[in-house]
Amino acid sequence: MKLWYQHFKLVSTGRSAVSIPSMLLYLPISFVFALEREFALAPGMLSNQLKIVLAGELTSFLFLHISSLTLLRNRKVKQQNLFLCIFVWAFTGVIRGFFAEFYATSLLNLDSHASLRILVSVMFSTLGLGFAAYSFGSIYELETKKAALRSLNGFISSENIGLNSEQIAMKEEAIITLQQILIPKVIQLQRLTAGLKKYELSQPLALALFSLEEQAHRLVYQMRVNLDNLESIPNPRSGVASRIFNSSQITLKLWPNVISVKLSFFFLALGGIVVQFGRNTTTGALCSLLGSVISVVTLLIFDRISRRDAISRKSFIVTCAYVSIFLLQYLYSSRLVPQLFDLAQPFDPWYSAVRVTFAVYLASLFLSFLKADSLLLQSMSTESINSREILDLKNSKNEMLEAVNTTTNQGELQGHISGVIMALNLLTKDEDTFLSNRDPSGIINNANLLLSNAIAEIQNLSVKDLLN
Amino acid sequence: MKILNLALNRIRNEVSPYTAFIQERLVTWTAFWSTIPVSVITAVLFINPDKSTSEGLLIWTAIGLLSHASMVPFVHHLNKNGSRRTHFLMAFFLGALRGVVLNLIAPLFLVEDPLPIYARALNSGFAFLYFFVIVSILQGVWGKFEKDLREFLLTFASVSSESKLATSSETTDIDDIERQDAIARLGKLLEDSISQESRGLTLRQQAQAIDRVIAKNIRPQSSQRWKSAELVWPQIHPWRVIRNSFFETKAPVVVTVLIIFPLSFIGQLARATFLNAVLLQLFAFVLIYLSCVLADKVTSVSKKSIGFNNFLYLVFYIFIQSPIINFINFLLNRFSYDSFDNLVQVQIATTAVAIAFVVFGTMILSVYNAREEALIQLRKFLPEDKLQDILDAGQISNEQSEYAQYLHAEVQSQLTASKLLLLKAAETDFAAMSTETTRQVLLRLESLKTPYEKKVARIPKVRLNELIQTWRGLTRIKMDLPPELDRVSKNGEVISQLIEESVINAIRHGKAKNVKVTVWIEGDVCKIEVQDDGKLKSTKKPGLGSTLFQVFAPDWKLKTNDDGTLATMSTPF
Repeated sequence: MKLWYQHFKLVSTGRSAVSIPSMLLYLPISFVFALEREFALAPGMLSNQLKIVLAGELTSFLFLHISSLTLLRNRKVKQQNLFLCIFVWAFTGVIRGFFAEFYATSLLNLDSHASLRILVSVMFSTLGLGFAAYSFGSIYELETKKAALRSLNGFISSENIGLNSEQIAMKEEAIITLQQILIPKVIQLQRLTAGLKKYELSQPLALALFSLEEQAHRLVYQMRVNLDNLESIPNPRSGVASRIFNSSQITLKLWPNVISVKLSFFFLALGGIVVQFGRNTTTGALCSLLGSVISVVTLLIFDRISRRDAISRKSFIVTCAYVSIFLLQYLYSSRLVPQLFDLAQPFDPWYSAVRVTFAVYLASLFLSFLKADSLLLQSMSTESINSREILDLKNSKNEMLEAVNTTTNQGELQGHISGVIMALNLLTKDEDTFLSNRDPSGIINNANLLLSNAIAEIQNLSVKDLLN
Repeated sequence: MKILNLALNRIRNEVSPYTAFIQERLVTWTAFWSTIPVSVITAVLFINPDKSTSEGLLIWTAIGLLSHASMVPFVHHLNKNGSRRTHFLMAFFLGALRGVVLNLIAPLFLVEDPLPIYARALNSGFAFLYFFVIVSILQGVWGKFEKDLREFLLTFASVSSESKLATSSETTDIDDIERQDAIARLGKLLEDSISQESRGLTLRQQAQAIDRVIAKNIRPQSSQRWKSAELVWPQIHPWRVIRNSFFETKAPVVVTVLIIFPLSFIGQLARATFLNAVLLQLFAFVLIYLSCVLADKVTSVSKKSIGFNNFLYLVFYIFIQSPIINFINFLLNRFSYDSFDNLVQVQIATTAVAIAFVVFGTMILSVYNAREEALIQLRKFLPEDKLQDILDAGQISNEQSEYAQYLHAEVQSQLTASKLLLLKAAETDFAAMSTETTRQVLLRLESLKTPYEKKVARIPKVRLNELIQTWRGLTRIKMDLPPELDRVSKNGEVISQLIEESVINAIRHGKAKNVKVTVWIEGDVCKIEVQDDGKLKSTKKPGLGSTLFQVFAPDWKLKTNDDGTLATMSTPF
């Protein structure tokens, strides 16, 4: 309940607290209810009844509009005080009732029913405008969230395109560096070590040279593995966006496939009480309450059945629910009401049954729309999370590729290999002075060390991880 | 059947020029203000049962005005919202509302509307649907011209710069230096206006600039054809339009009568039975058609001008058709009128309204034709490729302008801010931002309409250095940044954005010339101070910047000190 209250406060006190769309939903219903009231309070000419109702409705509308420009003018920027909103909704009822009364008594010289007109109008306006604000606020909230996710998806798509082209460029750069710079150098290294073997060497030196040759082979192998891995990295998929972001409009299905029990009870009980109280005072309100309970029990049964049943049969069950509600209400109004209650202005049973069925239909329609919209939002939200995760993954892949490029281009790897080549070149440059003037073991050991470092570094590049 | 099809096709063809002008939105403030006289006139002439006393005239004027005012809330809401279908519905609804209010408030003035409330609502609904459509068509005539003009002007900016000087025969007309200079000046002016939309000239001013160049430099030296082109360029010259309408444009009588048929039929129903109304309308239409045919024949035989044809038709309408219809109306519906005088008064008013509709239709055609001709002439005298060279030259210098850079930097900064905010909202399942705040961010995004460019350099220090470079020349920005901002960090983008936003605010709103940014890290928190020598300016409406601060640095503060304005905030590092 607390959660519901918080949500009500959140969505109803924003821009939809008073808005033209919510007024347009509220006004026709309010008009019909007021006309029903005037049929009882000002019997006679339809033209007069219309005038009384319209006088109240139009002045209250004007008040609502003025309130939206003055008292609630900041509602589009920040949430308004809930009590202020309730005050505006209730006072709209006061205006509505007062001007209907004024027109009836002062201009049409009809009987006065001031307290009844004002009280019923206040109750109806407060509840009706509150509900209109809540329903439009909920729809608006969902629409805003969807629009935000759609816009965010635009950013994600845009970044995705950037990351894709970045990844392709960096991969190509890494492959070119390996193919054109590093691998030729290592092959040159292999040749140099092979060339050194033609000299007669002491055993430790031969072992060191053998180790050097082996390391050079390992380095070549490791580089080829890395090159293969780099070439195997698939080109990034072009898009992360799902179609769901493009088709995000929910069309209002005129035949709802859910039965709204709670909302129907709210509509029937409160609406019924307000209208019946205006016509038949407390007895009318009790009669309406009992009728609502009967309808809700029926709805509850059908709701249970529809939940268990297959989706394909849901619309059939919903149809059965409407037919049952209509028949039950007709029977209740025609048979039970005259026995149980002494009503001065009872509704025609047909009319009463149609009203109740229509209220249930409206409640179900609203709930069905809201559910479909919430489901769509949920899917969009999941898609958005997935897209963001994909983007993060691409980002980290790109960082890895960047590291590969930095290490191979500007890192120590090239230095190590070049150092070994230079050292070996030094040894083989002058064949006559090779063994006599220098001690080659130190140089070869240093070369071995450099190559070990180079191999460690190339193994650390974790190009394999990029394949995942 | 064939004749019917032909007739329908002809009607369709004749109506289509008018429907093409109907705007997307009918219910606008322009329509509201321009229909006030109509509202008052209909109340005074058609509804007021007692036209003989000045008191009645005044009372019904007041009722007309008040009932018209009842549309205000809806016009306020619909002025820039809603689809075309909604506007059509609402135009009818607003008319009906006006009718209802008129009927309701009449007793307050101790007078009575002769029609029942629902009939008045229906009648007024239809009438105002027509009036709103007429205003929309009028706006459309001007709007289409503006659209064509805008397209014409924008063509200059979009054509490739490789185009050579024109060699067509028309260009020889502008090969003299004086005119070339004039066109060059004009080209620069237009290009500046197109490239700097908000600060440049309005479209109307651009059109007036073209008009001046044409009047001073081109028209006097041009061919006779141009001189006698009778241009209505770029403004409507009322007398010329009226003269052209009457003497050179054939009045579209039949099509106008067909268009206003539903309105006149509903009007008839107020005082006649359905059958009588149908009969009267039928008679009226046949008589109008015959009058037109007769007027055409006489004009054709006597080889007279269009003006004569229009004049002849007017004579037939006033002196033949109108009295006959008045007589038939008397025979059919005399009991619905208070007196014979009343019947004649209503008939005169109806005739006047019908003539007004025809005149209005003729004027639209006249203006439309004149303006089409004007654009054709303009295209010939200002060859696109020639002007393009001038525009390209202007473009190059403009591309180097700092102003363009500032704009770009700002737009991209705002786009990045929007992205960060939306990301934050989505990550927190919209708990971090209220619905209204989210909507404001979306609205801002909508207004930017520029492709988002992801910045490659994401190291805060690099990005903030770019900011210094961007505003160089306009504002001196000094940064005192900690070493932690030399590398990519988890919240680096947010920190950079907050600093960028503060600096841009100081420059834009505070007109600061010197800005000093100091950033330091305390534990996991990044502290930011932005001191500038500008003025503290608070706007009533919170913008994207304040939303950004509220979401990412809720403790942000802005205060004045001896040096100017100091902004302080902290955000997680």
